[in-house]
Amino acid sequence: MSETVAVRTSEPDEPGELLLATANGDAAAFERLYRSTSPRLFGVCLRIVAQRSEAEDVLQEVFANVWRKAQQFDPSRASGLTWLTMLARNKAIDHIRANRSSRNLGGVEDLDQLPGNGPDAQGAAESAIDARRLDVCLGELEAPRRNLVRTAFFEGVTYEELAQRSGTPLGTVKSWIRRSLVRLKACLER
Amino acid sequence: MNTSTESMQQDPPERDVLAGEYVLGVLDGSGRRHAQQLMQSSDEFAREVDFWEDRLAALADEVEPVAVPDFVWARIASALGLASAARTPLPAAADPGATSFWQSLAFWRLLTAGGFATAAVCLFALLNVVREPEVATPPPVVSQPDTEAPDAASAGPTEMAATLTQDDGRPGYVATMDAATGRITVTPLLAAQDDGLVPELWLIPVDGVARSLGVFDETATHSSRIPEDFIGLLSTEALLAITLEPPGGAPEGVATGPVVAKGGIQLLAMAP
Repeated sequence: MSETVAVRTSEPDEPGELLLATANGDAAAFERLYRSTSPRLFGVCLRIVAQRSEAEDVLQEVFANVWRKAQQFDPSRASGLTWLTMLARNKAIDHIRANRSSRNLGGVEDLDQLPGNGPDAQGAAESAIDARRLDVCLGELEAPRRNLVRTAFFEGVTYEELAQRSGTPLGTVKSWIRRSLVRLKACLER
Repeated sequence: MNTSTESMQQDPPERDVLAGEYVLGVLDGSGRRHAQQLMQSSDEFAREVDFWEDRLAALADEVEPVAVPDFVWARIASALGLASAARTPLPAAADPGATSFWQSLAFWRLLTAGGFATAAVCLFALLNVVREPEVATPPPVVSQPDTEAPDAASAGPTEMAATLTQDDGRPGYVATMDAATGRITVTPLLAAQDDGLVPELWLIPVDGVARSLGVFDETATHSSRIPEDFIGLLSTEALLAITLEPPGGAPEGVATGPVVAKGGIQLLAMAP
């Protein structure tokens, strides 16, 4: 659809614009940013920090960081949504590393679901091409490895936990993930 | 194969792989700190991290968004001093914090496009309670309701209702009011908590100052009189909120517990 392409190329990075305004101390922009992105970021946090009240604390910390450190957002390095999503993931992962009791006790993703079948949240348009590329590259990995990669991303669990959950020796899990990263990178750069 | 498998198990791995491990989230606490330091000291490593963040971010599109309870924003705004630095109760109109509170209220109202900031307004109102509304300085941005509202109450609809919902979206209480008779009836919808606290009902009219409508029994429908001075403040712009307080009610008339439920007032019927 030619319209889609036109939209993509001219599409403003709205979270990015709001981040730049927030960096200038614009409180209204900050609230708009919170309103438009917090459900997505909360969803991301909840997959990593299963406890709701703790995930709320993490989300609060994320947005406190956004307000104070929005100047660090560089639109030439990342889109606004990517920057926010990664900030939220990093805060959530740092939280569970510091509080082992709050870690998620699930298994490894065992649905052999091909990436991209899940609900397409906001921001999908922005990253549609990246997502398709990532789909293709993840699809080139063997299913058990792909599932390990997906579990690691969504839940932020360590090598040790991945090994426990999948009943696979630690060294093997490390080797699988690292190989997968090497292959993914080569594929994503193609 | 064996040798390359071993090389894949050695620590630390190549830097681009380490960056991928960091973004993927498989590193333990010390591994993450190491990677975070490396990002500060090495632009090349920081670029590797950028690469992975940019490419893997698309996976987050698969995560279902989850509605965030209103109070989280209230806490953020409060912690960042975006709304009000005056967190202590206002004993009287002369309180120097009053100006910033009213400014903050104006700030909130400007920001409020829907019900989004409702909880925040509630919180700040409860943190800034005055017991006797007539001694409060008339806010510069809000018309004084005491003198203007009775008209609406006497000539307009008199029966009103409010559904007070909890943060999880479930209705917690239903209140019905009749401005003509001054009666308010509150019905709890959920099982009482055995924590020794009692629910206290607050009316927060358009001026943002919370007025207590008293405590009530959490186990049964409760009916009481609305203080005469407050009847004129009932309107569709006012809110009802419930906090949990020690038995006997909030000390000094200042809410101490969290807002557990809140809701706007709706008109039920036209007066004849």
